[in-house]
Amino acid sequence: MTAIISDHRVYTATDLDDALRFLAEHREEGWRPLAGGTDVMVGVYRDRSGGDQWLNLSRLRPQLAGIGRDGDFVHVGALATMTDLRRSALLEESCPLIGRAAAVVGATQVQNRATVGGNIANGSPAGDTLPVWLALDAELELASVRGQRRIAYGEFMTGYRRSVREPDELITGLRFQPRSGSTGRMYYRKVAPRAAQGISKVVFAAIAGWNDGRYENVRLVFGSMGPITVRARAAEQCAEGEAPSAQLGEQAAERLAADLSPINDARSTADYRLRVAKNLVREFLAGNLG
Amino acid sequence: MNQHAAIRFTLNGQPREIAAPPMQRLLDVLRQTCELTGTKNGCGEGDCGACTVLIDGVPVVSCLVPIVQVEGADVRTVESLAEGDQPHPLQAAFLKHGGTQCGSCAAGLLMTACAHLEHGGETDDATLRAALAGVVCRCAGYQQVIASVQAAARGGETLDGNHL
Repeated sequence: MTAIISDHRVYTATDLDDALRFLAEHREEGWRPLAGGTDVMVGVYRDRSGGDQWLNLSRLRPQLAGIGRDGDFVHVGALATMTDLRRSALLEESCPLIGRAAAVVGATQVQNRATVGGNIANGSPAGDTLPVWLALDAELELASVRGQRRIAYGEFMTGYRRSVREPDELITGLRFQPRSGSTGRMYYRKVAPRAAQGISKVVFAAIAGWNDGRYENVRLVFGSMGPITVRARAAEQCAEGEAPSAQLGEQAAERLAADLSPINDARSTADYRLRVAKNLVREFLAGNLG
Repeated sequence: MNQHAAIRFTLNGQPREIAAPPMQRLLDVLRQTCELTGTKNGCGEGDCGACTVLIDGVPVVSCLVPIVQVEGADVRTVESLAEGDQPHPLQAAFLKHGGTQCGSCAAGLLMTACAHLEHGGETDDATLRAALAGVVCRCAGYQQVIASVQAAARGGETLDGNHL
């Protein structure tokens, strides 16, 4: 183990400018950002996945861990931890699903280190917070020496653990418009082998606006149901402008297969995953959840 | 980018400077370099909590912390609890109330409970179960663990020779 680990190289950036300068100068060399390390270290020690050159971001926490208002938006820094998300009164008020998702990312010992940006950059199909960001229409901020750009989280992932992030870019944060329970319905559920510390079989985040007793801007989002976190668009369209009912739930559930592509793997089966997804959508749109 | 940069941190109240590969696990530095073997290596993937230590007062799994990220931090292990022959109140309570059996998870439970009590956490059953959920006990001694932490929080735990 020691022989392998001694080959790894780490550059500790002093601040954000230093990190971006380093990424720009070494953009062809495969350096990867290291935030809380809770995913990276498992890969490094299990199968040496992820490479062996790391840009340590721990000194950027004063710049990138804040959670606050930004005009009409709520802004979350990339180095905010899952514990930070759980404890934020602003996030609880702006979208309680965020804290619920952060609370099921491993144990508290992991939540104290694991970061928002790390969860996003790692891009696991089973990432617990990812469906919430997608359901919120969150925008990611990517910074480089070339400047900053914002993109919808829904456009970030392009395939299994692949994203549009350029090698010289760093995820610095995200923002979203607050959604309170009084203006809609929302629900989050992680289905795993046990209540705590499992890797998900199915993750579900649903947010729907509410206008005169009818759903609008419906977002039905799933994790662990394909190579990336995905919106069930056909089911969403089915519910748009409709009032909650058991019949609507049944109809939308039957359209899930159009967008979801679950697989059989060590954690579950495609059949079970789709069955659970249908149950969740049916009950949510019937008005029984959230 | 030096492969064996010196890492400076505080370990159990003492300043330390360690030369180690930057991605080496804090767990390995503690056990091998510092010869503090109270912290146990369980699953090595952040699931079992046996290797829990406190960094700046916050419980973390030391198997997932690269030593490079410990620079400047305050690290406390289970060895910091007792003062000489005097066990920490949590240790005394664990011994008296059966909170430890095989001992694999004991250091993780003690440090997690220590942080919880230091931060003024509540000690009702439900709160403690949530606070300690990250440490898996294979002896299934959870009820005694809860009772031990509650006894330590009440204070006044004393041990006689039968418990040591």
